[in-house]
Amino acid sequence: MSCDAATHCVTCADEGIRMRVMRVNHESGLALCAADDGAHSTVDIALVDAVNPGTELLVHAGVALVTLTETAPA
Amino acid sequence: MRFVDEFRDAELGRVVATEILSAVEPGRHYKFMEVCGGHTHSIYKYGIDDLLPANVELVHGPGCPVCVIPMGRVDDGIAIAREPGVIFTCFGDMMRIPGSDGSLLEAKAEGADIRMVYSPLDALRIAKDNPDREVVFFAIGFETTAPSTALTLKRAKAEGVKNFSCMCSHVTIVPPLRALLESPDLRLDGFIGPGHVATVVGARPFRFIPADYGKPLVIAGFEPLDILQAIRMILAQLSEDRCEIENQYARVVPYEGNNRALAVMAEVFELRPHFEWRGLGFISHSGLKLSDAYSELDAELRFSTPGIRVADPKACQCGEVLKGVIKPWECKVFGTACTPERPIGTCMVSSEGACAAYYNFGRFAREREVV
Repeated sequence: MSCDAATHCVTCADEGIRMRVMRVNHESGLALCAADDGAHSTVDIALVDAVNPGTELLVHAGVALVTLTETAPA
Repeated sequence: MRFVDEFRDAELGRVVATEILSAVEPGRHYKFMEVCGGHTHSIYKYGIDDLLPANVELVHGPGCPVCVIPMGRVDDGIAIAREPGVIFTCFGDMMRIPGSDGSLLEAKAEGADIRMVYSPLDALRIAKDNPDREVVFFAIGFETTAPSTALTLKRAKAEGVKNFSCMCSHVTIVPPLRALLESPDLRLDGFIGPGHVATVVGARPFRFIPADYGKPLVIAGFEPLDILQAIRMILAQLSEDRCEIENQYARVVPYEGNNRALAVMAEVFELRPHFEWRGLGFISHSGLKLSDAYSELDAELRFSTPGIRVADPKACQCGEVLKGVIKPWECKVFGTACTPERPIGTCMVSSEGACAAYYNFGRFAREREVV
């Protein structure tokens, strides 16, 4: 993750981060994801369906809570 | 950036602000609470306050996960961190929360092995890499982070990681909202609902707010236009004599929430009879602990902790800020003795805390004019 230059490190537990899936390991239930700033991290995808490379996820504390590509913009 | 740029459109923002201005009744004062600390952060960061008519007041709610952790809980964490052989892990902001005798960051400086992690999965990885050490994860947060902790504990149990445990300080959002609505200190006209908590719990748990208390709630996203639109929607309900739950953040929040996340939480956690919230006191059934099936991973059963309730510093008014009774700048120590660099109270620590958000973004424009 990166730091928000205006404040401090965005590690507050409730920071929701949009990430794009790069690689999926269905056996482990984990995906390698990239944030908009280019930072990479491993994300648990056990709670969402249909995760493929390119899928956008809303990630909280290393876990994807919703796939953003499932729903249309409000 | 998709789903972001279109919600930061300045021209559209001015249009919605104009609609808000035309929707308010002159002479009536509106008080809306944004429940989530993420909203508080966005409101100050983007100057949303400055786009609102002077008679629309935003009150900052208790939805910052680190701000509601009481000092005694920090002391318990430090006591575990100082146990020989322990690696204590937590989110970054937790490290700076003051306990009665310093913070986790200060305990780290004094020699305790305390490490910042971005997710509980990182803590589990540390446990696997250090099989001869006890690794403890200090779990905090609302329903957004509780699924992450629950999944990690399931993995730890399934993989038989014996040297991993969790000090569970997760909380749930509905009980403090009910407590606030029962409080005689506060008169609210409506709520900006917590968007990301709602991705997990859905809209259903908030139905008691219009049903029992007659206040509208609009679940909102975190971009400036999301928040402005949510305020517009609340005002529309009030002017049309409607009172219901609406979902402004439908592009992310399904009405029913995330059933898988709710199921894993129900398996791993159970409600505590009482949990202490900073500034709000003890609230029934508002905190989570590990269920019996996961008690072997409960750090509070594995280690002894002081478990003592510690009163907040007298000068600190985080409690009143968390209840929305006073604004951050009305606290006696705001910006003087209490700053993000040297916080006295929790609200000055996290970027989602009302005091830190206001200190960083809003302190130069306190007086608002009618737009």
